[in-house]
Amino acid sequence: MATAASSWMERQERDVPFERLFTAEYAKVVAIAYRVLADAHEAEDVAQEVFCSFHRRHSPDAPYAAAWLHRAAAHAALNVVRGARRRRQREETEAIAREREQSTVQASLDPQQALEEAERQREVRQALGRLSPKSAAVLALRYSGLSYAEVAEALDVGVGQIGTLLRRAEAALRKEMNDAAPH
Amino acid sequence: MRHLTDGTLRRMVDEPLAISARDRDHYSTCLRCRSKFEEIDANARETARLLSTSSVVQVDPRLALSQLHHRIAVDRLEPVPRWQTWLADTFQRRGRRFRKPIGGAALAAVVVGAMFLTPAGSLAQNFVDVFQPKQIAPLTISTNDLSGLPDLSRFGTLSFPRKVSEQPAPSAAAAASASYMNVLTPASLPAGVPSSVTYDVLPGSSASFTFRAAKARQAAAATGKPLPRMPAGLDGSTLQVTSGTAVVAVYGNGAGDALPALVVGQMKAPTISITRVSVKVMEDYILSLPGVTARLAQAIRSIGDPTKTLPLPIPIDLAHAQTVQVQGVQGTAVGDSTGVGSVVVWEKNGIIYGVGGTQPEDQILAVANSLR
Repeated sequence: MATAASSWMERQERDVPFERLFTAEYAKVVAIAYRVLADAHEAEDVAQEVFCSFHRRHSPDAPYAAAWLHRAAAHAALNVVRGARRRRQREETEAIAREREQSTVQASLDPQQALEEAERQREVRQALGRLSPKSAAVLALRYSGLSYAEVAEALDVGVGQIGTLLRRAEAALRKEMNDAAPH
Repeated sequence: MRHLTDGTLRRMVDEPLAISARDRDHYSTCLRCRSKFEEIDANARETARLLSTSSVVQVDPRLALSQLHHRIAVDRLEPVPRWQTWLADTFQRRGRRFRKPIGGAALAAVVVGAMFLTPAGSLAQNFVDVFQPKQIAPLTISTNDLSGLPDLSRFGTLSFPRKVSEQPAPSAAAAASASYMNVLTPASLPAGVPSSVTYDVLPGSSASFTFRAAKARQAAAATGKPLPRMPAGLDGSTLQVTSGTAVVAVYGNGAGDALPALVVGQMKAPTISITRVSVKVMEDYILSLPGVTARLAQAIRSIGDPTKTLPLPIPIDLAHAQTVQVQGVQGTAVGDSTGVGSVVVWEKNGIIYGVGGTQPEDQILAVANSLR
């Protein structure tokens, strides 16, 4: 009985803070992954993986919890984009899903515009996957709405460096897009 | 004044109020910076357009949490043993990220760790006493012990090692040449461990603690706790720990959060020195400070002859340790009974060796014994 009670107590001690962390950070983690993947389902899958990994390995009270989750979300999503096998698979399902999504979400766009939009999304994600991990991560984190301070925490750099990292990453993304564009 | 950096101009795009008044003044009168800002702003807008998505994701955290709980239950994804996460953290403890959460406690542990090495019977006074431990002994500590350690910076001056930068070496021979040590390598690797290996050479570094009576009195007055009576000569006494050059070989470098498959390290044993008082006097005084648990104080005092023994702090709530025979000497194996991973540490001929990885203890011990 005492063992059951103490086990219950241990679970409570861990689960309650974890649920608090999950509720506070879930939307941000999904937003980071979504910025990289542009696919809501995949972004939620990544978020599940990230929280699962955190739950197994770290204390929910760890002072670095939020920063860890943000960084892991960016890297896990970028890994999905980079994974060649997954990417091919994804592109096939993506084309179908996006066509379906575009037809409802972007009912105002004509089919030609929707097709171009889907193609742009695909090119951008591929370009992100070719950037250095740090550059891709800084773009994913900042453009998902994290503050400079949050991005700095996640990347474990000083907040004063974020402007420089962003500037370089933006220039690199632009170059990747230009290089990939048909001449 | 110098022109604003690209980084500052980029931050102005998003957080204009975060820029200093001086930078703003410069910007308002500098055509070059304004023109550069326009370019950076345009690039940021273009990036925002590229990374825009066609819809906003609506999330339901409660539903997502119940899905996660379901998955954890079905796939039995229980938390990994806490000692393993501790081990993973240890491998990854580089840079600010690690130092921030537990910096104070870790540094206190380093200096109290040095106390383990004090020659208990020494009556040496007013001269520098230098010694080097010759073997390893496990010292069990609990998280409670660590959190209860006094913040030594309030009792004196702590000086930390300068940032130590590791130097990659292309081979064991190159690492040996850079470290002036005979670098041992495993004759065989456990199944599943990649043979790809990276070597890093870490230069030795030094940390010290100088006791300051005035600071200690201030700290005591601030907390309202009585300060134990201070022995003569303690004020201004400096304890210094100097670690030796180390070589670390990492097999199958873990990406992200993954542990490396296997790590083999060796380091010249550290040396300890102390001035003005005997180490016994400083040890006794620090162990009498409020916050040090009686259990820890007793454990430190019972370590045996500390001039010959290097204590290896083992968190008792995360791992267990046992004595093993390795390379013909006595060493310590740290691990958990599930065999998720383990570490073996020993000292031989003035060099401390360690082998660790995600393999069970018998395999790690076999690697340790195969080092040539």
